[in-house]
Amino acid sequence: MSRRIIHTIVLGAACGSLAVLLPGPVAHAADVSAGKSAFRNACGICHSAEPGVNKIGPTLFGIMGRQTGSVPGYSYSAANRNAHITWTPQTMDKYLQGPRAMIPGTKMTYMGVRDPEKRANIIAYLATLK
Amino acid sequence: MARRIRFVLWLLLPLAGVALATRPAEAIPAFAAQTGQACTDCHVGGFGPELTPLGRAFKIGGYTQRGGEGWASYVPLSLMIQTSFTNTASDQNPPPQHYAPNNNFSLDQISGFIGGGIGEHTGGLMQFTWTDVDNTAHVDNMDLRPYTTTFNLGGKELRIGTTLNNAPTVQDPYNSTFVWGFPFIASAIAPTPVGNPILAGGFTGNAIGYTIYAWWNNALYLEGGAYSTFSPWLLARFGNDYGIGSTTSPAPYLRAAYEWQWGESAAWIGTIFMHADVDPPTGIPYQTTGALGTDHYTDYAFDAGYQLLNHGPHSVTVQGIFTHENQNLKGTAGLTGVASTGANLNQFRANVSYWYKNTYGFTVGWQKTWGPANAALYAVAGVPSANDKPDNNAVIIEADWVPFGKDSSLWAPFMNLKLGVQYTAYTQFNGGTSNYDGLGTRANDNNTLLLFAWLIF
Ligand code: HEC
Repeated sequence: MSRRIIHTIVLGAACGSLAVLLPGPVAHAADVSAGKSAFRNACGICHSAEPGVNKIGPTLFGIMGRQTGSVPGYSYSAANRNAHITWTPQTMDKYLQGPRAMIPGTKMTYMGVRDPEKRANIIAYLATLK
Repeated sequence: MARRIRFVLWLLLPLAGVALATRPAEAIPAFAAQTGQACTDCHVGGFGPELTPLGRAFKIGGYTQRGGEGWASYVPLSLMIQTSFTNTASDQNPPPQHYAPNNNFSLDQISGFIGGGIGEHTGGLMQFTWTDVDNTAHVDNMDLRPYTTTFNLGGKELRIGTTLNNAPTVQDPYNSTFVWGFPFIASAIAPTPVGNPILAGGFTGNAIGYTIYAWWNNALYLEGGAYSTFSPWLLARFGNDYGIGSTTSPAPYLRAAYEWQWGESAAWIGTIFMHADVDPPTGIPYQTTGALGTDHYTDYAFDAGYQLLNHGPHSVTVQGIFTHENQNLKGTAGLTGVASTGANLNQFRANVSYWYKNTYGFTVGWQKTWGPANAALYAVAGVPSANDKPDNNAVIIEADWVPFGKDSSLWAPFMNLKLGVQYTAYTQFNGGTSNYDGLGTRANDNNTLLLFAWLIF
């Protein structure tokens, strides 16, 4: 069976039996509020957006413009602490594509965000956290 | 029976169809796809159910994390298959139904899972299981999180949530408790001892639990709620029967735990309280009676655990739970014509695991149960304990191989496999060591060798 057909069957079956469980198609404009919701969904389990609240990862409050590994009271991996990267929209964009590719040895296990628009939204939201 | 099977099959059908059509894909690949995390990020040894701190955060967070991308991250379905070979030290007499007295291959479980989040506040996990051992289908583990959200309390995050579940501890984040505790797999064919506190199975699959919980600063976990058994009608639909009986009033359940995380380590201590007033089962399916009195059970459990999960090659976990149960069995004593009604039960369970590269695992577990003679529970038909005591003592050794489940694995994140060998040695079984049943059977006649393959898509 070709991949296409398989995907169609899968999607058909899934939609048919579970339409209620599945969110409808979403088309976000690149914006902060989409970024906030993407952040809560994808990053929120490990990161807080509030100052001083460290979870599995450090708080991302005030992250833009700061150096890697500089949140007080958070115990970073050596890799992240010694990465010496300043968080700008460009470095963040690269990082979020593949955290472990950019900072090998980081303990951030998340695979990354492939969708460029979603990354842009998240970065726009991160920039408001100050 | 036929109706029950048809009902569950009807629920399973779309799952099976989808899972088979897609891809060979734990608990559960649907979660890996939804979260954008590998199995190893949430599970010790890269294979469920034992949770890492991230796995606990995901579960307490209501299964809502959604960092995965693409269509697969929206398919909340997984399929699990368990098959095994069982050998017991002596042939079983009588042989297990449909099987030979010894050396049996069995298709233990085919399970469909629906699991995942809908938006930021709602999620859940539901498992439907069919077993070839007795050819029945039933609603297996259910842990639904109708609503959860977070607040800021004292400069830290406070998460509040609700659960609807079908077994005490199925919703618990710690694998030191019962539903998701070691051993994670057991032979469906070998005999197992009968003495167990109600927390360890009295309401599994036959009750609805409704609880609310709070999780503060990823450290303090508090939960409270109650369990009520299902009606006979619902039990028939769910494919389960009453365990210790039907509740006459909601059975309160309270849980508290505190976790510390430092460096690569996490440690926790916790406690569980449960009290239940039940009308005991009559022996006829779906029937209980309070005509001769009600049974009362009160459980106090204390658990603790430690995990060293460095992201390098070595992982070590240690967990244990002690449970004390007070029993007042007026109803059962009446039904069985036994004079004494008061008794108690103690149980200790512990295990230590070592994993190399989340691929090769070795676990030693110990389970010991003891208490006074209790004719009401342990002298009834089908429970062969000559001295009416619940005592048992078992050591379980398991070696596992999990070749997949990492980021870089074949078909990640859609498939995972565990192959294992497990040996259970009993020095006490149903109250005794030699001739515990009055028919000359020794505890170690039940020693069990299990070889298993556990596959999940
Ligand atoms: C599975 C948990 C997890 C998820 C999900 C996660 N992170 Fe992280 N993140 C971490 C951890 C842990 C660290 C600390 C890494 C270290 O010390 O090696 C980290 C570090 C970071 C850093 C570097 C912080 C610093 O002070 O140098 C940034 C930036 C970051 N994460 C952004 C994100 C964003 C944006 C998302 C969502 C798209 C996200 N993370 C998702 C766990 C996570």
